[in-house]
Amino acid sequence: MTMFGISGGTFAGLERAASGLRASQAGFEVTQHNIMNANTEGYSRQVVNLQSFYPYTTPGQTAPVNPQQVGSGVMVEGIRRYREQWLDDRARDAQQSLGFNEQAKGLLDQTENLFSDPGGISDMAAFNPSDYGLRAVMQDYFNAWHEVGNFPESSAQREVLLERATEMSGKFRDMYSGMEDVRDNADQLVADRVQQSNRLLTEIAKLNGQIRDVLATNSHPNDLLDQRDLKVTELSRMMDVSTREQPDGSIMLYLRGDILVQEDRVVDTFTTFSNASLDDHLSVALASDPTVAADIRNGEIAGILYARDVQIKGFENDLNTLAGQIITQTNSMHTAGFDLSATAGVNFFTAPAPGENAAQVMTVALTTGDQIAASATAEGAPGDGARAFDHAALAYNRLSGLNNQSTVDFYAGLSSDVGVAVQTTQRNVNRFSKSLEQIDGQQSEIAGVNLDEEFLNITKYQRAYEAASRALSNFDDLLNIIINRTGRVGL
Amino acid sequence: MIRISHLTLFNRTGSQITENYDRYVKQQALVSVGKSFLKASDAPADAAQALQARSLIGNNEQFQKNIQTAHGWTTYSDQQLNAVMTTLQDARQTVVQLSDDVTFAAGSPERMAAAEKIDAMIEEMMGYANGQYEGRYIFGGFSTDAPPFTPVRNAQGEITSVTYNGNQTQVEDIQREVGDNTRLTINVDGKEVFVDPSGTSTNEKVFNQLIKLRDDIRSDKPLAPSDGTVPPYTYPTIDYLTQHLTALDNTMDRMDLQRAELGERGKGLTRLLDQTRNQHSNLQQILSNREDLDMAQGALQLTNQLNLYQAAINAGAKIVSPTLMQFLK
Repeated sequence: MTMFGISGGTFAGLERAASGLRASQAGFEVTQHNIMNANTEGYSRQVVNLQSFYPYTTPGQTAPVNPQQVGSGVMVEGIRRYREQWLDDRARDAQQSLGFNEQAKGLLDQTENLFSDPGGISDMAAFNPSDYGLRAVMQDYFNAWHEVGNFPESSAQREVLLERATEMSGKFRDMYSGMEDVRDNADQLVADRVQQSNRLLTEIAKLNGQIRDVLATNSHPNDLLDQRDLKVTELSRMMDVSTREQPDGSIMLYLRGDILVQEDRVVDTFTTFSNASLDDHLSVALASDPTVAADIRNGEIAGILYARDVQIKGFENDLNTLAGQIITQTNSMHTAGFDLSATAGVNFFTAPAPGENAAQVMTVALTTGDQIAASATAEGAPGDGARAFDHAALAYNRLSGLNNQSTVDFYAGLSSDVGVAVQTTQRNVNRFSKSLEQIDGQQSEIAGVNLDEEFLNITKYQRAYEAASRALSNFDDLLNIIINRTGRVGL
Repeated sequence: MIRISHLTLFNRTGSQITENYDRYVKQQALVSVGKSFLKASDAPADAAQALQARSLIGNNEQFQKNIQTAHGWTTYSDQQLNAVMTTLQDARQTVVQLSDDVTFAAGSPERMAAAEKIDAMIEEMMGYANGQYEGRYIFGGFSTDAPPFTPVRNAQGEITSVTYNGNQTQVEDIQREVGDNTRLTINVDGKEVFVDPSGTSTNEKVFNQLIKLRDDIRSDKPLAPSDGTVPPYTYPTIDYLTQHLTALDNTMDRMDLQRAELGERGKGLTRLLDQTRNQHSNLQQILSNREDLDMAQGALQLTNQLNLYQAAINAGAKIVSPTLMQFLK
C-alpha cells in the first residue's frame, strides 16, 4: 500500500476528502449569498476562489523525501467580488450630471406651471387654459383700455379697467411669488441634501475603518466594499467629490482642495448659510469656512443652486423688467393725461421704491374709475379717449426698455425661455439616464447576479459535495478494511 | 460573452415598459385635447409663436369691437344729418309753397301757419342737434356729457337763438383706434353745422337760418338773406323768399358734402372691418398650424404607441418569467 507511505499519514485521505466538502460548502454558501442579493442595489456577485492545497511534500531540510508530490486536496483561497472600478467612476460622473439636471428640471417644471399660457394645457380639466395665464390677463387689461377709449364717459368701463388692472397686477405678483416659492422650496431641497451628504460622509468614514481592519487580517471585505461604493455613488449624486484610494484600503474623499474624509475620520462637513447676495437664500459651505459658498459644480446640489440662482432668478428679473416697463410707461402717459374731472392724471400704478421688485409689488394706485386719465387734453374730458388708446397701444408698441419688443412679445420670449430651459434639462436627463443605464449595464455584465448561472453553480457545488462525500465514505471503507479486517485471518 | 444579470433584465424590461407607457399616455393626452404640444417645453418655439398669435387675435377682436363702435357712431351721425336734411327740405318746400302764391299777404293765416311750421322745425332741429348715441351727445366735440346746444327762448317760449356750449377748439377730434396705432376721427363738428357762434360767418348755419326764416315770414319784413346783406329792393316778398331758398340750398349742398364725407368714413370702416375679420381667420389659421394636432396622424400615432406598449408588455412577460429553476430538479 504505497498510498499511505506517500501521503504521509493514515488519515490524510479523510482530510483530503473533507477539504472537498468544505470547498463545496463554501461555494454553496457564496452562491446562496449571491442569490439572496440578486436584487440588492450596488451588490457585486462573489465567487469562491479555489486553489489546490499545498502538495505533500514540499522539499526541505526536515521534510520527508518522497519520489513525488501528492495533492492534498483543495482550499478556499478567498472570496472575491466582481467589479470594475473604472465603470464605477464613469457611473458617478453620469450620476452627477443626471442629479444636476433632474433637480434643475424639478424646479423648472414647477416654474413652467406658473406660465400656464402657451397652448397651455397644464390643467387639462379646464381646457382653454390660455384664459388663465398672464398673457390673457394682460390682453384683458389692454382691451379694457380700448373700451375706455371707446366709451371714455362710461364709469362702468372705467371700473372694468380698474378691475382688470388689479387682476393683472395680482397675476404679476402671483407669478413672482410663485417663483419665489419655488426658490424657497429649493432651499429646503438644498438643506436636505446637505444633511444627507453629511450622513454619507460619516458612513463612508466608518466603512473606511472597517475595511481597513478587515484587510489587515488578509481577508476580503467584499460586502463592505460594495456598501462603500454605493455610498460614494450616492454622495456623487449630490456633488462632484473626488476619491483617492489609500494603501490601507481606505479612500480619501475630497471636494477640490478640501479633504472631507480621511481614513476613518470625517475631516470636514457641509453646512448652509443664508446668503445676502442671493436674496437671503441658502448657500452651501464647508463647516471649516461656513460663510463662503463651497465650490460645488455638479450633482444635485449644484443643479438646485443653478436653477434657483441663475435660471429662475433670471425669469424673475425678466418678469420684473416687464412689470417695471408697464408701470413706468403707464404712469408717464397717465400723468400726462387728464381724468374725468379734467384734472391732470396721477400715477396709475404705485411706483416701486428703489430696490423693490416691480413684479413683486405691482399694485394699482387709483381708487376710483373717475381718476383714470383717458383724455389727452384738459379740454378733452369727458369725450376724448385718445390717451386711453395710447395706453392700449402698450399691447403692441415696441419699447426700448424691452429690447425693442412689445410687452406681449417680451412675455412670449420669457415663456419660451422657460420652455427651452425645461426642454434642455429634460433632454439632458434623458441623455444621462440612458448613458447611466448603459454604464450600469456594462457593470452588471461583470458584477450582476444571473440567477441561471447561480443555479448552475448550486448544481455544480452540490455534485462536487456529493462526490467528495462519496470519496470520504469510500476512504472510510478502506480504513474499515485496515482497522477491522486486517489480522483477522481465520477468525 | 455578455452576461446579463437578472436585476438588469428586470430593470431594463421595466424601463422599456414605462417609456412606452409614457409615450402612449402623452400621445393620448395630445389627441384628447387636439393639440400638438401640452407645455411650452414640449415645443418652445411653437409655443411662443402660438402665444403671439393668440395675442394678435385678442387685439384683432378688440379692433373689430372698436371699428364697430366707431361705425355705429358715424352711422348714427349720418342718420342725424340725414334727418336735418329732410327737415331742411321740408322748410324749403314750405318756402316754395309760400312763394308759389304771392297773394299770401303779410299776416295772413297761411303765412302764420308757415311760420308755425318753421318754428316746429326749429324745435325738431334742436332734438337732432342734441342727438345722443349710446348716451353720448355726438355734436359737442369732447363734451359728450351735456347737451351741446341750449335754446334761448322769448316770452312766448319761442327759440330766438341757440348757444353752443360744446367743446370749442377740438370739436373734430374724437378718435378711435381701429388698428395698431391707426386712429380715425368719428365725429362731425356740430358747431359748424348748426350754429354760427361768432355771428360773423358768411355761411348759413341751420339754426340761424331757420330762426330768421320764421321771423321773416311772420314779421312781413323784407326777407333778407341770413348773412345780413341788404337786398336792393323791398317788394315783392317772393324775391326775399328766393333769397331764403338760395340760402337753404347752399346749406343743403354743404351738408351733402359733409354727409358724403361721413359716408366715406362709414364705407372705410366697413372695409376695415372686413379686412380685420379676414386677418382674424388668417391668424386663427396660423395659431392652428402652431398648436393644433393633425388628428388623423395623431390618432394613428396613438394606435402605434398602444401597439408598442402592448408589445413591450408581452415581450417583458415572456422574458421575465422563465428561469433555470423551473427546469432543475
